[in-house]
Amino acid sequence: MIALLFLEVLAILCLIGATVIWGRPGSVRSASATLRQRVLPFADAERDLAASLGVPFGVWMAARFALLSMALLVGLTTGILVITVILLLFATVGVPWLVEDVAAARRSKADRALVATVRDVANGLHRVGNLDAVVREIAQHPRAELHHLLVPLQTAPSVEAALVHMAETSRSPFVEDVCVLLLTGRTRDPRELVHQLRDQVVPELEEDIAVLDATRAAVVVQRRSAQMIGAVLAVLIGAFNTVPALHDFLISAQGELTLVIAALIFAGSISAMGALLRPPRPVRWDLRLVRSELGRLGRD
Amino acid sequence: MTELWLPTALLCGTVVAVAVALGRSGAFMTAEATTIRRVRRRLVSRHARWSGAVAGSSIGRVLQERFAIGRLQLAAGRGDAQAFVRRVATLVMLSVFTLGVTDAVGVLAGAGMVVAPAWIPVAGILAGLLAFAGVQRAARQRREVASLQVAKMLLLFGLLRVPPVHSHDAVQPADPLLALARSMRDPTLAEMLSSEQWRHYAPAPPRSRAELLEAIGAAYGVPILAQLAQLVRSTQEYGGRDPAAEYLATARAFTAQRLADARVRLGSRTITVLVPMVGLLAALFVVIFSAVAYASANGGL
Repeated sequence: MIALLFLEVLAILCLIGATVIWGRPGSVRSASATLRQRVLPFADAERDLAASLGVPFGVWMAARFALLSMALLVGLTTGILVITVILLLFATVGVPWLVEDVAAARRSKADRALVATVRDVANGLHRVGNLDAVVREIAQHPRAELHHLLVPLQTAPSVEAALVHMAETSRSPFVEDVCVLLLTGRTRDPRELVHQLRDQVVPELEEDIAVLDATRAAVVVQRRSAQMIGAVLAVLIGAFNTVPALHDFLISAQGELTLVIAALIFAGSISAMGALLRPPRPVRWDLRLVRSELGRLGRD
Repeated sequence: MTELWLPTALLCGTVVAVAVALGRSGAFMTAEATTIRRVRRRLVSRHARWSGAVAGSSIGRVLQERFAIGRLQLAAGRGDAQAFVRRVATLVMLSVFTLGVTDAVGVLAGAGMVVAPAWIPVAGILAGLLAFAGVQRAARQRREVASLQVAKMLLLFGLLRVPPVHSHDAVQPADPLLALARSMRDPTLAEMLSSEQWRHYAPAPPRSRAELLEAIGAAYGVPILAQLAQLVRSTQEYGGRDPAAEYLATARAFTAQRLADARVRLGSRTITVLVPMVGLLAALFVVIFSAVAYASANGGL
């Protein structure tokens, strides 16, 4: 009797729910659009990371696939399902976590070199009085960290197009900021611009880098500690696998459950650390839109 | 006896839902009353109706003042306070319904109740709290992004020597503030500026460009817009120092403030971050102790 009543009430509630969902306009979104919206940020993050490491995107993806295959191979060799799954997860989501410090250090060096270049631009502008000519001249002898970045300024027909191209290929918010400032400066009086660059813009950019470095320093310390503990854990599990009694433990249900729990605690702790120390998301410009808006604002 | 509570609760819920639906459609009223109600609904906007309901209820007033749901929703870009109530109600009902179904399936399968009845309202309350935490988080993130976006523009206003807005009535598409906001990849600030929803929280229509910026900043909770308003007031309206120098100096001051905030934030979290660090060590010990315990139970190493 109770079971029948259950079924009746549930059926009524399901019907009400289905009617409400059916009646809501636009509640069923295009699956491909949703998928694109979800996948695009990941693809963008991979591109940003590859650019920060100074590796072409194709090479970076090939390296990622090679690592994934290696993780699969090592996992299958151990014969423990949970370890295989953990290694695969590590080879996918763990790699950016491992190389982020290297990427951030490279970015910081390049950013500092770029600020020095902006200072050179201000000095050159004081001497020559033409921003385009100065930018072109400085791009001919770039600092080592900016060798690839300034290539468009050496080859592109117009400085404006080169700055847009430079910002787009750099995939760096800081480079975008500098390019926006230079695009804006092209419409200004050179003498006034020299003062603004020297007195306000360069110190502002230096403080921007200081903000980024302060956060990076704190994150690096914690991440290194976590990587060390992770390495110890990996060595420990590898060593357990060579001892027959402990290998039996790892392939037992209890062992696999232990590994799952340990992996969850580890991943949870790292994400908690990330949440505590995560810097604010950088604000980024769309240089093509900026160029068209600056053209319009300049005429106002 | 304990198995009776769920069908009874579900039946009562269904009856209440049907009664509410019938009540809203005017089944319990006279034809005249239904017509008057329909006309009133057409004439009075949903926002005004909601505000009136909140203003008329003491609990509503206390909640609104304490949590400022309307402003949070506005900053989070999720509509008005009513949308939040709808969302909370949906989440609470969904969690209660899911647990109810789980129990029902358990009872039908003969395994008894999976979740004790006392936990079902707890889950509902948790769902409500999570919805509130979610809107707070979204609002904080969007305010942070909008502040950074305005700060980035200060340098450009200084270099270009243009005022952020041209009119005191509303932010126009041609205004530098909105034009540059649209040139950013994140649409947060552009959405805030082009929406007119801030007017619901403005005590009076703005009479100057500075007041316009202050009203928008206050509605969305973005203090840098109030700073920008002060700049506009001192440079464009009072006619003070060189506007370009003022904008550039404010941009630098904001970055210096960000640097100081970042240092304080990181300093205050030096100890907090040790908690997850202990978690990492716990993962290590879980593996070691479990392996040792297993080996001991199975004849040792």
